[in-house]
Amino acid sequence: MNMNVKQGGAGFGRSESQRFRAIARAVARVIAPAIFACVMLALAGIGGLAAQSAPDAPIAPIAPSAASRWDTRLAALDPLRPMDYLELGEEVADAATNDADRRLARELFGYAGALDSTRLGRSAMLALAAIAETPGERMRASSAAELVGGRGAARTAFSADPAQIEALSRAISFHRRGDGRKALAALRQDDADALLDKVGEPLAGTAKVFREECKAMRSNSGAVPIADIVRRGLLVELALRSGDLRPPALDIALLGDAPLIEIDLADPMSTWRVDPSKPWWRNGHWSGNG
Amino acid sequence: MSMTPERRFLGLEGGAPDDRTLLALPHDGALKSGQIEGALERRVDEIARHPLSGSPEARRLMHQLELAADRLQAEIALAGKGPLHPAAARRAAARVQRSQATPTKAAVVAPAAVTDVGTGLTSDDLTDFDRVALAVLVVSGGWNATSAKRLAVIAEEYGISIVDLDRVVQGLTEFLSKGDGMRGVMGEVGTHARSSLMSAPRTTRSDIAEGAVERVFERINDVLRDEVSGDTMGSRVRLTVFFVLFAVSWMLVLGWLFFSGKSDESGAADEAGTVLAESGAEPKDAAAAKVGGKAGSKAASVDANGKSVAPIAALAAAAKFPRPPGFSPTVTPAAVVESASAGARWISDLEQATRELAANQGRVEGSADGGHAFGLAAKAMSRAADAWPAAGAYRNDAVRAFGAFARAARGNVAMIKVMSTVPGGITDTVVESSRASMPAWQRTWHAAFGAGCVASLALDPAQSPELAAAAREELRQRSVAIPRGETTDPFGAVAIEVLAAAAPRMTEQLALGTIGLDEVSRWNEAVLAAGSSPKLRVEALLALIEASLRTAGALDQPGPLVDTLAFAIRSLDFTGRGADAEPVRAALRAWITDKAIPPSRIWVFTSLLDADLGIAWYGPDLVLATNADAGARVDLAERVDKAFPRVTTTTAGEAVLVDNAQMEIWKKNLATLEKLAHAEPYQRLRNAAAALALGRLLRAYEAGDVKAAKAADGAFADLAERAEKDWGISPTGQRAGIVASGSTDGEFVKAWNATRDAKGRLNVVKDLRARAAAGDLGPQDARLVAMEVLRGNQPEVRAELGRVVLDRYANGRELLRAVLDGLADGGSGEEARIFVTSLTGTTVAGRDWISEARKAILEKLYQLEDSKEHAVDLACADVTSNAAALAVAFGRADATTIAATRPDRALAAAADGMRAEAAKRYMAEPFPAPIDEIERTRIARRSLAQSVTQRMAAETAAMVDYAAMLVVARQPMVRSTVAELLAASRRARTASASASDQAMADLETVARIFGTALAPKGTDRAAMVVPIDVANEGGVL
Repeated sequence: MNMNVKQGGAGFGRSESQRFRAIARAVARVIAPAIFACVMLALAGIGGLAAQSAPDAPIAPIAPSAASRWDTRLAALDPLRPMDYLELGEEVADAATNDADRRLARELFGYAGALDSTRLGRSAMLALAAIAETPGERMRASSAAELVGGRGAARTAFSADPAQIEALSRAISFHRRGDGRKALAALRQDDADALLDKVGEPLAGTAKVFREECKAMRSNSGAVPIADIVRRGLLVELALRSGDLRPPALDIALLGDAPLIEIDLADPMSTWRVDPSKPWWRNGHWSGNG
Repeated sequence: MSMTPERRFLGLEGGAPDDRTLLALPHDGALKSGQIEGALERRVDEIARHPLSGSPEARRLMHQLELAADRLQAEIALAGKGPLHPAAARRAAARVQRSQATPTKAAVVAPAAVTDVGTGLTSDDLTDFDRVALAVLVVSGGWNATSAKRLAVIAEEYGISIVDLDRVVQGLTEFLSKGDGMRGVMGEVGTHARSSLMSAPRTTRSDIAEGAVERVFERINDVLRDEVSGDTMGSRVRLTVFFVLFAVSWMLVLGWLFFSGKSDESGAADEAGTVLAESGAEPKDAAAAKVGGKAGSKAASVDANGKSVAPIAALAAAAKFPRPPGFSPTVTPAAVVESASAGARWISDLEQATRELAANQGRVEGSADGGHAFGLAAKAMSRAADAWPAAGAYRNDAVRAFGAFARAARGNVAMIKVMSTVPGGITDTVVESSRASMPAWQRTWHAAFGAGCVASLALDPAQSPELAAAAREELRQRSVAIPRGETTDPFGAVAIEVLAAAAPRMTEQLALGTIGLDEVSRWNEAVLAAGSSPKLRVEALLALIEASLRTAGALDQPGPLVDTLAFAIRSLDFTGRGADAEPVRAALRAWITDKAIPPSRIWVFTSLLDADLGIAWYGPDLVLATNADAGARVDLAERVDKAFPRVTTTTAGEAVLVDNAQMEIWKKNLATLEKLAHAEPYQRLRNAAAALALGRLLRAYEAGDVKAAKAADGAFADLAERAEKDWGISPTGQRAGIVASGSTDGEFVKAWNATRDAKGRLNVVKDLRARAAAGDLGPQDARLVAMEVLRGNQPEVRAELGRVVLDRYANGRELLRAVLDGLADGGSGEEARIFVTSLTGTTVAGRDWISEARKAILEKLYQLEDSKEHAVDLACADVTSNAAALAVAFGRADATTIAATRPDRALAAAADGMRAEAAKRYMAEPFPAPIDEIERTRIARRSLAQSVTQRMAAETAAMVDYAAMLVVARQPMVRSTVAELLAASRRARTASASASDQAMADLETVARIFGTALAPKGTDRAAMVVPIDVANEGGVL
């Protein structure tokens, strides 16, 4: 601004120039604080909004359309009757047509489990597993259900048929030699494809990657040069052939070292993804004041 | 002087020594029966040590000694100065039978040991009183005034009238005269009966005194009668003098009674005290007299060598049984299990009833819904009462649902109806209608369940005051005390009270044989289900023991009653730890001193305590003799009380005390453990093994086993200090071959393809053999070699090439891989099989030889390389060995064989050992969770685990909980510290990126939790560096 004044004021007299500068300073004195105040107000508003929404950050707000259908039923919920949350959650899940409904159902199941983990924990987790959005979430929920109230019924063990192992072993050898066509042919024998789906991750990252690599190899295009892939193939085959008595290192090579799914019931927020201190539905959202 | 037997064997000079001289007893003064027997035993020993001890002369002398002892014993018996020594009683009894029974070593045997011989009535047919009466008759020399008086007193104690006593004596006399059943066992009967003899010494002395007074008065009466009837001057003078003396004596007596306020003894003591006070000296004599009085009474029962010579409690031998008493509870009946499995239905019915009642405004009047609701609730409650001990968590749910149902009730009528729906009450129509067909245990279950439900209503602050009042009234009607004070589990408290009250009825029926041990099993099942805390369970078990002791059934012979008693003893904790120690100690004392419980029953009880290996502190010296009097019982009670373990509680609780050096080792090792790298799986597993070694170290400190501590410390040091490069070394030591320097891959292929005839190719093979320092080939060459070796069409070349490979390239990784891949093509023949066998050193054969060959080649490849896999295997082996050692330290001696190779199994064995140890500890409130819950989650985790590290993590989580339980049980003050460690461990597990990380973090937490149990010995306390936050907790690390 000052530069403009200087450039523009080249033809003015000294007094005019001084007067103009005085006016400019006066205007600047008025406008600058106003702008500063506006900026501060804006920042304060943003901060306030952030502060208001911070405690509820983990819990996304329910879309009004989803809540409005169930508003009356939701308002009648009482944490003294956790079963009601579960029952309503089942109704909401059954009738769910969109993500908002499914999210509401998950919250209801979460509250049921958080409010009465002993009685309803397992049921709530199984219900959460049924409406999980991703396989990972489903596995977490079903495992958590076992931890909350299960008695070992979820026992699963890795198993492979010897014929499957033979076929997959040939496929690995062909893949190692760079003979993709033969490898794919071997995979089609004795349901080796199914076994590849199980061991694809330790073998090549995923089963799909292995198949794509095989497809990309021209016949007799040469051995696979990557030492790590060769090594993985050898370890996986030996692990498969060793059966349940495989050494621990081979077991890790085959099944990985993924953590055992764990939940911390002492931390309901992380376990149930809801805040059990806000169990009342009031004015369209969960509230801590009934 | 002739050599008499007395002189030869005993060194007695002079002729015909009297009985006391013969037995080397003092010539004057009162003797005790035990003293005489001791003297006899010493004399017999002297004779036995003589070279001529087997001579007839020695036998005659021993017979003389016995006769002398018996004469002296007879004097004691006739004077009523206490019971006879068991050996003397046996000899006396044997004499009554006119049999030549040889004296046997004094021993107390169980009446059950009396063998049945002869025909007709046997000793087993005799009641306790019969046996006592027999013994009194024998000892008193038959049916005379003495025995009659003594028996009359004893009979009164047994509640037997004089008429009945007469019949008993007649019957016994007839039994003795006609029966043959007591032949040879009279001694044991006499032995058994000495308890009654002991219990009546005071009565006997008064009887004797009374007889003497009678005799004196009879004599005076006779003299007076003679003097009066004499009618002479002398008679008059004597009578006058007599009456004057009589009057004066009465006046003196009256004067003494009026003017003597204190006894002579106390007066003397006062006098001595006064004199000593004046002189300022310590009243040594008086004190000595007091001490001497007390010590004298003790000294009187031992000889100069301190050996007991009186029939005191310490002489009692423990009761023996043909088999160890006790039983294993039977399994829950299938019908109950089936009924319990429908637990969810009870709850849904109760909830349905609640809804119906709420819909009817909580009232029963004016609507059919209200009535239906009560009917539904009553049936659900009745079904729950049938099977609640087997229903697990359903029981709590049912009680809670019933509470909700009760809350819904409004109005007095509804309140009354609510109470009528509770089973086990006087208005329980369901039970009343089926009482005949319902077993007793089920009625007890009903009563306990009903009372528990009512108590949960009465003490539930959420219930209305009207309902709570109605519930309290219902409890009063059921004669059940309302729990006072702070009650965390009203249901359990009241249900246990009802079960405890049922114990006497149960033991009576057991004694009568109308019920069996199945009933006790069901009772125990209910106690376990209702007793949410050890304190409650202890209450019930104490009631069962007391009922068993008070029930009039045979305890000293095998039977359901003694089995029940032994079962209850085994179920109780006598270690002195936990909240139940004080009631158990008090109950022990009360039973031993309770006069209403005969000493013979306490003898069996204390014998069972002695026989229970779990009560290590209870020794045979604490077995009450069957003849113990009140003093002996009090003495034993004091000794038992003194021996009962007391856990010294300090701010640090029952810490594992270690010296300064040990503490330094622990601190150093723990710090080292926390600094160990954990980026790779093998490092995390190594750290897990090191943490287990620390666990072993603590266990060794706890046991004071220096050798084990050294081994554990060595194991830790080995793990922590092993160089990183050493972890991945191949365990077989084989090294892979390397490609020859100067040769390039494809060189052999080119040379091979350049010629087709066998001779030329043999030359190429020869060149291959001639390569200097070659151990492997390039990929292309290796592939060709493998193909030719497996399927070459020139046999001579193939054979030679095979020999070259075996000689030079057998450890070549490329070549082995090429052979492996070559097998994938199939079509290889017998020679190929033989070649692979030679190549791998493993015989491959059969139809599936290619499969075996592939595995053999893969294994060889696996072993040839130094790799992280070897490091993982080595670390897992360390985990296995340390976990197995820890399991052994926790009492799982079989852990080394069970878990020889698998780390997860070794950890499972260690966790099992810790669980077994934790199960022995009693805590008022389970921490961090009940064992059942820890096991449930452990099983759940196992079911989720797939890989070996996940299975390890499933076990380590349980180990953390058990470590916390073990430490907090010992040191309740460190509970909050341990709780923080647990919370941190849970967070770490949840956030872990790998199962090996979970296992490592868990085991490190176990080591830290164990560390909180350590405390420096008193002299070394200054050496400790105590963090402020933990020090506030009373912890030490």
